[in-house]
Amino acid sequence: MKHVEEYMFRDLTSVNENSIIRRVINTMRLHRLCVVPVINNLGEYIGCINELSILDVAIPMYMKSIYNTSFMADIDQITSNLHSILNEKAIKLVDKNYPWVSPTDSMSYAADLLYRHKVNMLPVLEGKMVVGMISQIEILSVSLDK
Amino acid sequence: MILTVTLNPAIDKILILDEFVLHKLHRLEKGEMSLVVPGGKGVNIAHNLKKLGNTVATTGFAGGHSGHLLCERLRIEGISTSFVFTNGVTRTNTSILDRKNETLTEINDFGQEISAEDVSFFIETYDRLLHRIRIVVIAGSLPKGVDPTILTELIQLASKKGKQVIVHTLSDYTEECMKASPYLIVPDMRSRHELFGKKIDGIAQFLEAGRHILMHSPHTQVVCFIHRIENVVAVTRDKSYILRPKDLKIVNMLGYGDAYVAGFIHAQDKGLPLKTILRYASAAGLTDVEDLYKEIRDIHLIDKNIKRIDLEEVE
Repeated sequence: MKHVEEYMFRDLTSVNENSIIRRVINTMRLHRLCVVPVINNLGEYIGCINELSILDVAIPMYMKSIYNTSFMADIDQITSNLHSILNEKAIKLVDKNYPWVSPTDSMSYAADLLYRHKVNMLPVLEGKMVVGMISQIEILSVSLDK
Repeated sequence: MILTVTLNPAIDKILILDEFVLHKLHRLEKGEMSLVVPGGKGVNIAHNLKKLGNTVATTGFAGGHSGHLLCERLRIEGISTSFVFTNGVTRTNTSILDRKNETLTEINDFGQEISAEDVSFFIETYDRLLHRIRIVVIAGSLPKGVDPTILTELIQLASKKGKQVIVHTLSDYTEECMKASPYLIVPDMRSRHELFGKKIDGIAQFLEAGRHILMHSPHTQVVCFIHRIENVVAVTRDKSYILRPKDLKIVNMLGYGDAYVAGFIHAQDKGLPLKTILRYASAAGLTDVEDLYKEIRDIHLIDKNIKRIDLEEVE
């Protein structure tokens, strides 16, 4: 059985609960991540912020109800909504129920979580500490191994 | 876990040539080599520590494609990365080793300029990483925009949490580091043989400088002057030691200091007595310089090379 620890990438990138959303977006952009773990003062994992959850705050209510971007009058409205939250703290958008795996979990369990929760990336936790991340490409790369 | 801090990491471009001639077009030939590897003192130390079997994480500033390349290569080696990415680009350091003339030419780039906001985020990240580690190694130069006082701050944050701190940075920063008094200070004097604004060289001056550091840095236990590999000087509160390798055959000095520091940490973390630690560190340095590569490839050679290290005690 293949385990998460064999495939995870050992990146400990995270933001702090008091980091502002501007830093969260910048971290995602510069690290090319769509999800970033949030940690507390003791370095312990709290949850994750997904890029979609940031966008969700910025998208006007009427667009959410019609589920159709062809009605999007102007990106300015989203940008303006985003501007208003840039200095808010990361803790405000953290998803404490975001799925995660441990290094000893099987890759099939990780694949199942990624698929069921429709997310691209999972944090890998050892106790309360982030020890890496695992993404869909690592799931696919299991197939390349003998 | 051991954390290494490399504020100014690099991608090392290493060219190993039969002969390096100025004003000549060189095309690499069979037997010559071109290597692209992660670099910067803390990164090199992390590499050697991992090779020696330690669990290692590394942090600092990185940026751009070269920053991603740096992190990717480190993770492949099993080293955890926690770099703060900036809008700049991780620098490239170029080294040319001329095998015929036995010369090493190094050109180290400045590195990216770091904003005050990134420095502040880095310190927050570092402070949180400290909860999961035992030893911190701060090594290498500082990038533009980063004040040397950051060294004091990093040492103090770690010391307050009871972590052991080892510093291997430019000798220009030794005074700054002394303010926070790390456990071990290894001044990097490769490019300038100066300390406290004075030229220092030779065993007597190293001993004097080491004692001066210990007198003004109350928690520091060991100071090592290692750049003269034929006479490594280690000064402690009790005694001082001079370590000399026998039958030294230098192939490549690149990475020597980093291998020494990694050897010191590895031996010390195993709880070995000080004299054994010093011998092991010197043997690690010796193993590194007698091979082409900048990191130790065959760790078993260190144990064999310990026998080749003479240790003289000085009161």
